[in-house]
Amino acid sequence: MALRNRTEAYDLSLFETRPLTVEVGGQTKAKPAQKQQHRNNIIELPKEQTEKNRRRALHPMRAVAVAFTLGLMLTIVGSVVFNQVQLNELTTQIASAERQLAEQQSVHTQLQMEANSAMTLSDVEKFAQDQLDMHKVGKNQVTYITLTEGDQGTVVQSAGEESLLDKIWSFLQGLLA
Amino acid sequence: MAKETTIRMWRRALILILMMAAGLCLVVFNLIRLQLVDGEELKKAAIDQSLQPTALTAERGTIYDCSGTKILAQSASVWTVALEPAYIEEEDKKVLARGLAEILDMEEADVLALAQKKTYFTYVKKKVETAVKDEILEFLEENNISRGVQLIEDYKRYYPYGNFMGPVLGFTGADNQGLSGLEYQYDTELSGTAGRLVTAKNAVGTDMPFQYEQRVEAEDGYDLVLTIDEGIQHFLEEALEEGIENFEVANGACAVAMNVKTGAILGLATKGDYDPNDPWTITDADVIKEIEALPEDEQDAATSAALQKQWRNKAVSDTYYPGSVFKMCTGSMAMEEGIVSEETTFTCNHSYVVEGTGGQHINCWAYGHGTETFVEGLCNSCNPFFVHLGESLGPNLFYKYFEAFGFTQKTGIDLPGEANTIYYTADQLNPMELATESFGQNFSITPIHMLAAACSIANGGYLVQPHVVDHMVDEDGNIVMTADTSYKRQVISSDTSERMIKILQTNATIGTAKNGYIAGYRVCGKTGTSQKILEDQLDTSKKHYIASYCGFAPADDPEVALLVYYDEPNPNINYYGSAVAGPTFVKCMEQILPYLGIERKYTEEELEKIDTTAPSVTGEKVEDAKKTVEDAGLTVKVKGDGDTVLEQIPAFGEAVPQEGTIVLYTDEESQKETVTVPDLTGMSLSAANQTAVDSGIQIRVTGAALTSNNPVSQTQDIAEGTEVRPGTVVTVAFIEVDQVA
Repeated sequence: MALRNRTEAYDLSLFETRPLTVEVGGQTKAKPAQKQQHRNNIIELPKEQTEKNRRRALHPMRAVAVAFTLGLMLTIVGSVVFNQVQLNELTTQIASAERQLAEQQSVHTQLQMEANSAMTLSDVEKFAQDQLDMHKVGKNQVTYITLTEGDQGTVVQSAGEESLLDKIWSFLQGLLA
Repeated sequence: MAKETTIRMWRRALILILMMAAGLCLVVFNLIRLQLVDGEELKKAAIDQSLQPTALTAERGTIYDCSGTKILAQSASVWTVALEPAYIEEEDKKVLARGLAEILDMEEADVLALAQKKTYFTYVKKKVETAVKDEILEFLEENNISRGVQLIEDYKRYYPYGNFMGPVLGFTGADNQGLSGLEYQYDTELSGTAGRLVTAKNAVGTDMPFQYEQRVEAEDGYDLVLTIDEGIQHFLEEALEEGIENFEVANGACAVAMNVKTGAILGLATKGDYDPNDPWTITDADVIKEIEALPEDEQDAATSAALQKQWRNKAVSDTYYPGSVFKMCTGSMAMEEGIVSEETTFTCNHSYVVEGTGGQHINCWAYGHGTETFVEGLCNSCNPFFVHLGESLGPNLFYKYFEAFGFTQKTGIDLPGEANTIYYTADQLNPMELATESFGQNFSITPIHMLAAACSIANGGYLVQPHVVDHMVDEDGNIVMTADTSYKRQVISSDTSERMIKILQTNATIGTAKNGYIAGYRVCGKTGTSQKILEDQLDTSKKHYIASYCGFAPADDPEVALLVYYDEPNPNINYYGSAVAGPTFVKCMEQILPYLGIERKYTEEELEKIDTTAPSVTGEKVEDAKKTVEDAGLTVKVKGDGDTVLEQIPAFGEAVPQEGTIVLYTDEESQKETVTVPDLTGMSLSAANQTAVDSGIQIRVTGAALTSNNPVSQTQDIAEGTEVRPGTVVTVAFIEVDQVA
């Protein structure tokens, strides 16, 4: 009600410190302030332990080392992944190249067979005779001679074993050769 | 109040515990079941699901001729075109049908019918080549057709030379398996072993090669290197075709050339044959007409029978009575046993009464040869003489040698379908059977049997193992198998062999086999004519004969044996082995021997008869040319009024008969002159010569003309009616027509 009769937007007095009141028999009385109890649950550490627990200041070199290690790990992981990807791609390429090779080999065989089928001996012979005016080798192209008994050659075999001197001479020749 | 609540809680807890226990039991039970009971099966199923194996196809081996470089059969991957009609858009079907029909050389309506089928998959054309496949892909891309056409990788066997050597090579089936010939015989070796690639697959079926991969490489089939020489095979096939045409041979023919020392088949030609690229098509037009004339329900059986007949290799699958060719074996037996020598005489009175038959007799083909020596008896192919030799040997000795020559077993040649021989054992050889077998009748063998026996007579008496494959090579080029060329056994002594060679050479020079004579080549030979008794009984409209010629050369060191066999030549033309098979034998041997580097060695007598060579006189003054030609022992004919020789016929280096003519053309007008080649066949030597002279040409003679007393021209190398220049030399082959057996 009091608020309605006021022109302020906010009743700031509500946030002001007020004494506690207790309603007793329809009358409001101020509540006596309670004795503030101090809870003693704080453990004080020895000074050495405090020093020990004190957070150490990060050394710059250590920071670099950590960063380097992390970087190295990232690089390793990255390169493993990259290699796997590369490996996959290469495998795919190899498989594709092998397929192409096999196909080209088949095409080669197919073309070779087609070429061969156009070159049977009958066809070659016909072409040579009709187009190139060639003839088979005939007996008339050979000149025959008559050999008498005396015209025959004889291969003379070695007459016998070499003498000792001949052997020495052959040995020396062999060394010099 | 609190007490009641606690009991309820306990009850609930108990139920919960029981349920949990039951659940745990169920889990444990399932664990045991899955791990111990069904463990192996499930493990396998899991592997099957995640590790999908892919078969690695082994490439079928290649077949080469004896050079190891000439490819006779080879495989390559090709494509099969299939449609998935259910996935083809309705509006694409016509476009697709038109395009595929054009590319695949098919009827558009047929392809459209396939595309409109209510099915998920249908074949359009099998085994199309890569170029065609590329065309299809291009067409599909151009027309934005992404679904409905499947190109499936397949294999095709190529035989680049078509019919060439067809029955020997055989062919393969739809699954690349050998079905005939060498393809069948060596199917295991040619096929190789398929490999396997096992890789892990992810959920969508993509390979995970680094998770798990196990590759067992395919082992390609071995390559076969044959003993057959492409050149020799060509000579045989060409000559056989000519013989079939000349003598209207009804039932095919074969010619087999064999290395007498190793048994290696150098050439094996069989006609009628087929193209292994298209073995299911009947090649004989007459047979097709006969089948078409049959009622429809009989056509399938007739087609099947015709194909089986077409695929037969006559050289190994057909048996025949060898006829008088076998006399070389009977003679060898008798000579080996000392029953007969070259000078042993016998008197042939045309009819010979066989001992122990109650007067049954066997007639000679001639009206009695009178008293003749063994050499003359063989040269006359005298049946009574050989019946007499058979009687002298007796059934036991005869059978002993018959068996030793290999006639009682298959030769074991590495070709499929070798026929069993039909013969009488020693116990079954009663006098008449012995008598008829003595001159090559009444028992059946294959041409390969006869040729192997002839080789044993030629090579010192050793029975060789006929074979077609020389060696096998693996994919790395290592030789994995080599043919065994060791002899089976020695049938006759080398002395008997040498003596029989001389007798057979005499036979081929002046005897009944003189149609196989080749000047300078010391040929040995024996002819054979056998009657097909069964066919005669089934078809009485004509007589059925087999004409054959078997021989080898050169006599001083035999290298090659050749058997030529014609099945049912037209008896109205000729059916004697000498006349029908002899010229083919000559034609083949004349090409084979120089091809193998075997040179002619003429006797003085032969040297006098051989052709000479035209000297070079073109460009010379006419008078000088005349002198040059006359000095060469030839005559001159000058055409035109010029004073310089512009051209000569025959040209320099060409063959001219002894005392032949050289025509000299001296102006352009004379060079335009031509004459027509007359028919020079069916004439005596003098008549043919006179006809040639009258027509302004000249002839050179081959065959029996040089040794026969009564030769008749049989073929000419330039056809009748051909326009040629005056002086042209036509080669005319002569035979001795009154030779039989």
